[in-house]
Amino acid sequence: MDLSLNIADGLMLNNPVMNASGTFAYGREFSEIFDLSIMGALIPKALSLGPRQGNPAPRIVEAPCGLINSIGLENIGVDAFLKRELPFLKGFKVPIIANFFGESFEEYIECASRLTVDGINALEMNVSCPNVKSGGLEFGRDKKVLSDLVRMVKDKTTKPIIVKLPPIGGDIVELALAAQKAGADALTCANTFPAMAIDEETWKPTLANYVGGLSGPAIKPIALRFVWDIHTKVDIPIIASGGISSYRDVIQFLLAGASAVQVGSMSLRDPLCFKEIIEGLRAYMALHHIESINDIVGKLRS
Amino acid sequence: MIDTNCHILENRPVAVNTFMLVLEYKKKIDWWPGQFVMLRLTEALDPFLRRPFSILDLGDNRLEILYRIRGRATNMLSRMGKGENLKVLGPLGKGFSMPRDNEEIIYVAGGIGLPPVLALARVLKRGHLILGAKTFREIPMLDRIKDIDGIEIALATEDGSIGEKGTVIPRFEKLVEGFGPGCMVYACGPTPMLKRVSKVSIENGVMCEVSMEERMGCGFGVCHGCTVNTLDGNRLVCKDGPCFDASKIIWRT
Repeated sequence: MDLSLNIADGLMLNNPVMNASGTFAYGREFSEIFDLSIMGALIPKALSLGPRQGNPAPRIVEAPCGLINSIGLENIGVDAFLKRELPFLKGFKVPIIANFFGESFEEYIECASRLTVDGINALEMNVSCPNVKSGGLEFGRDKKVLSDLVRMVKDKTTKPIIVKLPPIGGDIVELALAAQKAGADALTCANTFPAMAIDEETWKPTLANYVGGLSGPAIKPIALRFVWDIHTKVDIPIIASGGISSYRDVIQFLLAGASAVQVGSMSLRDPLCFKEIIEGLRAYMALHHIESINDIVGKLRS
Repeated sequence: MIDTNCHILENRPVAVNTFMLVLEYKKKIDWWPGQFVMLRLTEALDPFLRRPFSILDLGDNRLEILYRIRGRATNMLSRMGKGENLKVLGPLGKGFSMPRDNEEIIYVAGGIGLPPVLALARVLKRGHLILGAKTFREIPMLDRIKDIDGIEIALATEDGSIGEKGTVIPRFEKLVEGFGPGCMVYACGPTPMLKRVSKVSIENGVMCEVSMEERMGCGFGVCHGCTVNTLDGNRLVCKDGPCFDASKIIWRT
């Protein structure tokens, strides 16, 4: 039985399960409860050129079958990551995908160029964080801006580029096509959905930032549809992200056309879920006599 | 930190809206007062996130948690009974630090801020505990609290139904001013109380540790939801705390 797959040159995964950026910090906490080398790939928290404080608290609130966050891309910055965190992550012999964002074309390009080092296998470009004024979302709303950005970043790095698309703001299929045409190697579909929570007793917003992004099983059916819509139009690999909580969800996303998946919110609730999901996939493939994980991708029956 | 399944041994009301939860906890693991666990109430996906609960006691295969009904999840928890299963992630966070030998100790607890402070008093077995509540009926297990070895207890209730009428602050000020800098303060309770306790401590040159509260996602430091602003920059209540040196906290207005 073979769970391995190839997303791009230099990005071969042992299995299709990775974490989603932003719910994993830089991996140290998870490494205390399970062996990170079981993962398909590791994606540390989104990086910007310099460190960022993020938004004030409260930054997180539960929603039905999910949660709304407005962390605001708090991170230690590219240089501190390369110096302090990457050496630790390299020890796990798992591909590392660095998620990054900028507030301008120049910052995106500079981040990509600094992250083009040994030990980082691919770059995931965040053009879809809904939580900060300049969290990249403006780069992911317009297909012309997005293709210019992808092209410029591709020029500055030899690493495969994965574009993490926003779930709303533009036509996601149009954006996916634009990213592909500009040279993106893969797409992550998608990010959190713009959302809000209000306290009816205090008449105040629950999050200090007023608004945030919804994630978790609540958004899974919508993410599934996005993956399907994009899969029917786009040739590059799709990495699905959106409420995946079990191996059953993974199978569903693979059938819809995803080559791999990211698990985020569920791992906040159950930090051992990665292990359970990967073991579940193995058991499913054994039960259904499926030789290779690739034999599931896009095989939705009519 | 480990994640383990636990049966409920007891889950009974001990004061108004306040419950004592006892879980069968078979793992051998070190803990210290101020640390907490994240409880998963159901395998179903709603409520989605776990909830943080301070550890009152852990040992002899028992995990004790004292909680108050605050929202949907604690309401659900209060309706669970003996034999039902919970998933417990912990112990988590950084507990209170040790006082110096012979240092006077003041514990201040407001409302359901009692468990971590009570846990510490039970372990250290010396010092003064000031406990504040809205009313007599909100104070859990008063008979047990009164009888902790080596602990002097003072009560304050807003309605004066037991102890001094008003908040814990007047009694606290008197004690701190009496002891002076050679004393250590541990506090947990509502934010206005923590702010006052912290201010009074700092003014008297007294070291004070507060157990902070913030909305949490994960409880183990990965989501960066429960941030608290400190003089050293952003810190996480779940991982860097919940117990912090009060003089480092930048309080939100």
